[in-house]
Amino acid sequence: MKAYIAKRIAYGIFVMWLVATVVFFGLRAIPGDPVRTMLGPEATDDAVQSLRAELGLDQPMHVQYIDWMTDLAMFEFGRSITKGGPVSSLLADAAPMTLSIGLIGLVFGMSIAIPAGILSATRKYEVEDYAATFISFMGLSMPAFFIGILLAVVFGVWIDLLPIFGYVSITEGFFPWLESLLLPGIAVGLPYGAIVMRMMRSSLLEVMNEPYMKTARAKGVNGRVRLYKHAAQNALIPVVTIAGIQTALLLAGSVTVEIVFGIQGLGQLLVDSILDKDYPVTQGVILVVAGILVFTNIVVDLLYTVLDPRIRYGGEQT
Amino acid sequence: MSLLTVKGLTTEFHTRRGVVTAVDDVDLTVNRGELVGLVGESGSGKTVLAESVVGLVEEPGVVTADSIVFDGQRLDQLTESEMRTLRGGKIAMVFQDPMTSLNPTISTGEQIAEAVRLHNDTGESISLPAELKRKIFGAAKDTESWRRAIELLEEVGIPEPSVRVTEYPHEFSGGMRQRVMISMALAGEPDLLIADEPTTALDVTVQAQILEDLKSLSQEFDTAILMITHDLAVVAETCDRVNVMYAGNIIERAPADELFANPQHPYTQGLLASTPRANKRRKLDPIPGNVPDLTNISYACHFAPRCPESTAECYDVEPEFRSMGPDHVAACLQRDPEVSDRE
Ligand code: SF4
Repeated sequence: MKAYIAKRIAYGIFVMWLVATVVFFGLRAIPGDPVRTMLGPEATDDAVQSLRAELGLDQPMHVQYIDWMTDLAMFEFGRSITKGGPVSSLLADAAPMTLSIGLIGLVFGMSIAIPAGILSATRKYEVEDYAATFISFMGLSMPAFFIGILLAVVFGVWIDLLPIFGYVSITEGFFPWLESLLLPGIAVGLPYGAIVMRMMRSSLLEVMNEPYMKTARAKGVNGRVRLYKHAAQNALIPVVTIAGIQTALLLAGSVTVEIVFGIQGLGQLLVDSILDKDYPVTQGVILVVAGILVFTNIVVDLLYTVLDPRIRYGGEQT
Repeated sequence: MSLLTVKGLTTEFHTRRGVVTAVDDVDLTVNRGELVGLVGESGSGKTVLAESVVGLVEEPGVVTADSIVFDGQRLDQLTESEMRTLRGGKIAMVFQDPMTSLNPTISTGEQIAEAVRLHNDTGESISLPAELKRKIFGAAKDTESWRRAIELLEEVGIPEPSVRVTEYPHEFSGGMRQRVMISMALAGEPDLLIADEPTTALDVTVQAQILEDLKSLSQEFDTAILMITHDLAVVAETCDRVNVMYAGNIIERAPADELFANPQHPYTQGLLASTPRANKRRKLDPIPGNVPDLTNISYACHFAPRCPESTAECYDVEPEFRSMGPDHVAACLQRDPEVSDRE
């Protein structure tokens, strides 16, 4: 097991390196000059040259690449070209906001999706099932930012219940934090929950038809024990896969939704840095997002071992 | 003395295409401690019949019966929760595929112990929270039900039962899993064990072993076995009496020896001719044609379209059982009833 985790982490680092490399060269392949963008069209060639030298952008590509990699190895992301200041502190400011939105979305989505999926499967083709199915299709057919706008209009403007702008750090209290992020969290959580719920429903229906469920009936186990003791864990195995993959959706959702709610998170940072050709910042944001996804994957794989006794990493796999 | 007496049992499935009559007005008797075979091709309704008896048929299936009497109790009048105490208790089942019939996420010991708790007075709680606790944190090892689970595993011949009891089904071989299934079925010391194709999914070498085990367990616990199978060889090896089923009807019923020596119904004769081991001749003759679609069958003898001896009458007149000898009946119009003082 320990060997397996070590292997997964090593693999994760490899993926991160790959992402870093692709991003590095990819960004530089996009036409345009960050220094000119920064200094404006009237800047003299001299000014451009000296700033370029200062930022190390006059070095040949491979030297820049090696510099960037050595920095990365020490968790240094370089300095922002346009905003000054180290990229790492920009990331440290922005990432918690986006992560908070994603986390609230995850908790909200899951806590709706699992019970709704169970209800939907156990009351197949009844009112509860149709209601859950309808809501999940609504969630699936609307992008997160659109749901965000709807929520902002309804709960922020019409009912005036929740703030629709800005972010309160959790250091200022849990409830103010939660309040400032509830609407964006729900906005990303709904589409996520909708997918997870559909999966939970179909997975549970499939499990209910497994021969071992008939065994449980033939054994005299009552319906509720059959559902929660015999079926639920088996049904969750494919749900965890989907939930893990969809974390990417959750993050993508947070990035757009935070712009709707005027939160200066990773999404805002990414968009600004791309427009400004602020290479180091763009690279940093992408690496952080990639890191989150790699981490989620490791967590999902470890969850499997908890849920499915047939999977034992590190030993023989059956 | 009869343990189970089923009279006029019909099971219909209401589907969009029409009503499928899987079991059509069937009588069945199992005596105490007796090994009874229920033989038929897949689709003959044999499994549905057994599941109808114990109330395992689910929507859209509808079971009706004149009466189902088990150990003096009218099963057809029990509520679902009363039925549940019988299922896995006095009437237990073993299914075809031990690979998929055991829950992959519950240890084999806990699966057996659960059956023990449900059908014996162990003083352990069987409420949902208690069961969930066992599921999440593992079963308590110092309980009556856990000790009994180990005993039961030993009973069915699993080596090192106190080690294997904590293992999961995937760590067992096919034959061992079927033994686990059997030990689970024995948890409530059943009077009747319904074994639905218990050896079909197993290796040939293991098959004979499992049948032997079932036979000796039946003796030891005085448990009657209803052996559901498509395989006449299985019947020949285990059963005292045989019921042959075709397209929802039992069409012949006889002591096993008698049936093999003297089959009367054309379908039974065809079945025997197509079975390698029971067949004395060299050539195998499979019965031409297939089991009919059971939706709205319009002809009286369901075997008529495949029967080499059918006449026009067979399509109009439903064949009743005719006595073919002591304890031997067949439902065929072309057989003259033997004068007999039985039946
Ligand atoms: S009743 Fe007629 S069709 Fe049916 S088995 Fe007898 S001979 Fe064949």
